[in-house]
Amino acid sequence: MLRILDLAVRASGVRAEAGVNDAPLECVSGRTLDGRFAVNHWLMPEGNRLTAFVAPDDSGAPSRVFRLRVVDPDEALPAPCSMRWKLPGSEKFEPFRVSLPFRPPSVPPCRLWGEARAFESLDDLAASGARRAGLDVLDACLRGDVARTMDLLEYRASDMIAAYAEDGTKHRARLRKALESLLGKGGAAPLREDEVLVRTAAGGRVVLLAGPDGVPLVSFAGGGGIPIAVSFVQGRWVVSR
Amino acid sequence: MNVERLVVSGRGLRFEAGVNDVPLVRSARGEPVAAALPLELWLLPSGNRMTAQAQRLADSRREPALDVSIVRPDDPDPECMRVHWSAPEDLAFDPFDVCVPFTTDGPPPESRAWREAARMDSLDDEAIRGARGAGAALLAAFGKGTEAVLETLAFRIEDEARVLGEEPDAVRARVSALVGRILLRRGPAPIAAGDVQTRLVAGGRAVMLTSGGAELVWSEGASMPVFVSCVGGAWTVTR
Repeated sequence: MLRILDLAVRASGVRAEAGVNDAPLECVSGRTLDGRFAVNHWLMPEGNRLTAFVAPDDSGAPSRVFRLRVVDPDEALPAPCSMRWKLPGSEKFEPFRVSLPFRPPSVPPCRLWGEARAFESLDDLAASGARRAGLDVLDACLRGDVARTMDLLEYRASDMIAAYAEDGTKHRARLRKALESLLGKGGAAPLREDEVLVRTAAGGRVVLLAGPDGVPLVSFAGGGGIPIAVSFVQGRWVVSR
Repeated sequence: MNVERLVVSGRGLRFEAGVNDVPLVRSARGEPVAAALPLELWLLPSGNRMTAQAQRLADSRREPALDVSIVRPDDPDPECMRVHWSAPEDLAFDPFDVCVPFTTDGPPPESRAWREAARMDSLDDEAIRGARGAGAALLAAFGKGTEAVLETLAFRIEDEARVLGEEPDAVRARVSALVGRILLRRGPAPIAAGDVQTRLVAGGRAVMLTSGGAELVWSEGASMPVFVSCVGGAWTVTR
């Protein structure tokens, strides 16, 4: 699997989202996180930013820590941008955002960035279209329809295959197996359109969808879920990330 | 005095870095800059933030880089925060800013300015007039000599002495020497009120006055940054 850059995050005592181009690759709240995440599928041809949102949590951690870097997976090259931040756990602070531009050493050949419409802001019509595209996936999941869900996720699958130079057959087989497992458990929570939260990322090319309180759009009662993001591509909304 | 320090290094980009939107370190043309500054004069009772703005220079031949940190005096891990950024020289990046909260190791030095100054969310016309008026009064004092300037700066001198733990006379002597250097070089040029730019800083407690991107009081070889605040209903120079 091709890895161009990793996002390295360390956090405790905070509620935080860390990612690239406003896409939260990792969210943390009330726990300690020390992890690395592949970011290929969010690397755009230009205008890339390391982005984060940090707010206090009430976990009672002895210190509040937030460290963020985009790094070469082998750590052979210096990190183009990074931040480290620390406060005593008892200190209150106002939430803050981080947005630092960077250029990756290369950009994978994803279709999305050339095909998706970039919204400066989402009007009601666009927001509704985005929500309904997400609810189509949720509906297929609620019915346990793996084949239909696979169809709805095909654009995303093909772009992820391009992003990580993966074997398409193996990737789709893995996806099918994961869906069969998740959907077989049942318990996904239905949502009304007005309960779906929307927000844009990747320069307005992607609309992130979430359920109430920011949970993944497709969330399972036993835990876990499928984050869904959609884009307006060639006149229709598709699941893109 | 043992206080937090701002440590900055940058090159190949236009930037300013400081605390609470006060630009303490700047590079206008991408020249390399490295500085470590004590922060006592700019530490607010609460809500302190490390702030920076950076902008690409189209004609820079250097790989741009900016590193800004707050270093605490008595912390075993003294670098409580740091933002590091670098890029290839040909990266066409949009301007970006940094605004990250920090707290001080102990209570910040007691400052009358930050305790008594009116806090503003934004500058309305009346506030801009008041701030510019205080700047104009300072410039006018330069026309009357050192004593007149020191009188106009009385609040600032007294408050800086309190914050720095120095005798007011010591601060007064330092300011007097600077005023002397400015006056030696023909004194600051007169500036029309409309040419004075205002910028709200220090959590809305002070207004930075500049003209044409330079400090308000400027003479060949010497300059004085000017910050004014509305204290007890009157605009006065506070830093």
